[in-house]
Amino acid sequence: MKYLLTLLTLSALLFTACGDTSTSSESESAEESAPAANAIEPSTGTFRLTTQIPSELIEGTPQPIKVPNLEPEPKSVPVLMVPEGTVLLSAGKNVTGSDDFPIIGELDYITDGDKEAGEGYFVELMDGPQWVQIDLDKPFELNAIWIWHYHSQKRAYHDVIVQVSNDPSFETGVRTLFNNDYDNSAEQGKGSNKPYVESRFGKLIDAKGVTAQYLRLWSSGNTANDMNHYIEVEVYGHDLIGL
Amino acid sequence: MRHTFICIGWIAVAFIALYLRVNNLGDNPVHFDEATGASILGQALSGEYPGFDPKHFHGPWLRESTILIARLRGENNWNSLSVETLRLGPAVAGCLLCLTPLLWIGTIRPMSALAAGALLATSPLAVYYSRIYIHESWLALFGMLSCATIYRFLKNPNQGISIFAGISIGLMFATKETFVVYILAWAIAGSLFLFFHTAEGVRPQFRDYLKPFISICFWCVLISAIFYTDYFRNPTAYIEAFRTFFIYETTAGHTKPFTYYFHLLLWPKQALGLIWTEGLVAILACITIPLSLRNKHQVGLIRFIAVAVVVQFLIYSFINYKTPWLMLLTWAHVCLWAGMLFQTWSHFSRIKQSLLSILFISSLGWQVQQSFEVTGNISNDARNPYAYAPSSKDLTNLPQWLENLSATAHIQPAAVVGSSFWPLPWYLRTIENLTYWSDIHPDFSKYAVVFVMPEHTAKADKLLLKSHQRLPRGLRENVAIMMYLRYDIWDKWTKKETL
Repeated sequence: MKYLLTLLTLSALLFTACGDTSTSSESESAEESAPAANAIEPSTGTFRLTTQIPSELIEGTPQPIKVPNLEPEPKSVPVLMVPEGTVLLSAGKNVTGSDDFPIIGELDYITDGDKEAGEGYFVELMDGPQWVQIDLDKPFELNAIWIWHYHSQKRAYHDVIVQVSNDPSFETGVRTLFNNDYDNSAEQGKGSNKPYVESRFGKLIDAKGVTAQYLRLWSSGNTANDMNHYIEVEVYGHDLIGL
Repeated sequence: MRHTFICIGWIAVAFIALYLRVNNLGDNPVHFDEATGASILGQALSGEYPGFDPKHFHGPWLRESTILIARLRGENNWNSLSVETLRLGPAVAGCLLCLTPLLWIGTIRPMSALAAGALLATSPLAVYYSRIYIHESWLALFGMLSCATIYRFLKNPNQGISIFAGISIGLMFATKETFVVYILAWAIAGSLFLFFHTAEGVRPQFRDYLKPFISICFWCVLISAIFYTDYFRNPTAYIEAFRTFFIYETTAGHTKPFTYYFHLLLWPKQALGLIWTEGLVAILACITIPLSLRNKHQVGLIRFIAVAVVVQFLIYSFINYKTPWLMLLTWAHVCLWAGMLFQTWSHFSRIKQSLLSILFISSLGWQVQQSFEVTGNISNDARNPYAYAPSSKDLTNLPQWLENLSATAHIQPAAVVGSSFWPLPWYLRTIENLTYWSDIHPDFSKYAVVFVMPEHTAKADKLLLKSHQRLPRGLRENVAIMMYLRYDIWDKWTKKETL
């Protein structure tokens, strides 16, 4: 009887502990995307862009991290003010890529809204310079691009380039919003943006109101391995005024 | 008709072996071990005798054989060496290894030798480690030469065969000190062979073995001494070669469980859309045992090979230090053993022949698929079971960028800080005035470029973040290095973009 009681107590404690973990991460995410943050600044007509920030990886075996002090990872959500009327445009939109047969996952994951770090949430593309392309169905005025490559391990992706265009083949009218390929190894032109370490807060890029229907995102491996990964890409903007 | 089939079969084996071993040979980044070997080779090419360090060096054969290839390709120093030059010798040795079953013709049937050759040519283990600048494929080649000559010596000890055995064992020693594992395994297998020979009524005269045995030892010592002493110019190096058995040191991270090799080669593993195993070859080998029981000549040969394999497997499994390529010569034995499935082929019923044919062709096909994968897109992916601490492909872009950068600014002095930085020196060969440091030094704030290993990045950040741009780069699987480029150079380089 004594052993039964001990067992029951232990089970209850374990159950409570598991429950605590998910509750705390949920509340953390909710706090990070609190509606209060969406208040419009009257003087500029802008508001702080928010999104659902994924929690730390809470499922699966933790990845061995042998890259101590790669860089202090961001500790807070990045801040970008965007014009009133800015909405998420990329949800569920069609994604294509340079690697038609991802090693893990599907290209659709990139716009499915799930930003968790575990298996089943990211798509893995082959090594070398690879791109994914999002078709927004029609041209929009773009205000922000928010990217999550992979965030269950401290790592920096090489040659992160974000291009936009109205030409699906990206042969004409290409504008580069971000490029940290400082050695031009992806051969898309040399970039001067700085490399950054992935985190659950993602990389938020100011699109500065550029008009485009297509986005192409490049990468070429990372500091942990040669492969390319995407969990989610969010594109924010609004309809073209007058159209 | 059968003769034609065998000939065409061997041509196919040679072609497949060659294709799998030399196709895109230079694609993968240089591995840690390749770079250290290349550094020793670079010294030798410059006319500087690298000596023999009993703590860290393997035998000199790999270096000596590559010197010849490098000279033929006009690469006469460390800076001009190419990846293909490094890997060509092991690739050629890997191809020749596939032809070694021919040495057993007369002892085994031509079809058995061909089957063994086909299994060797397509084995993903043999393919993968014949494409890397390490000692193993040479060791496997000389090992299979030794095994064939030792077996012939056991059956018929004479001077001729003892010379061949002595030379091939000498070359094994000149290649790698682990040759003793195989000598021990063959000694046990040979003793059992002679014991059962005696038990079966054949009485070997042990004095017949004495003179040829002395001859084997003589040739082994002579050949190995030639290479260790740099053609007798440094006699003390030969003493060092023996000291290596007592003071050999290994780097951390290679300790593996007892079952490591079993898991690597036999246990099916699912990764990258494929089930990885060479277990079917082991099954084929095991099948030969019951099938050959009626033929005492077959039993003796299979017992010799099987005992040698089991002893090698056990020795390597008991040693904590494990790397996957150590299994190459042992696995070559297994392929030879599996090929003996065809020894008593004509005695089998049609059904048995059909079933065994299906098993053999399946195992061959499965191996071919795995070998194409390990030489293709996933050759450098750590989830590929044969890729062992692969270097990052990010390194391969580094030399070209440094060259472009040096056209913009003076990128000296440069430093590398920390330990276990290989294969970085291979990719930094073009930088002059590059020094290696064990810790961060205050003077680094004036350096143009500083490469920092993970254990020192926190300290480097404190010193260099104000003066240098921090650029993370990949070194090996899950190991990143930090490159610090002085701001004036970074600004000059990035401003150039806008011109």
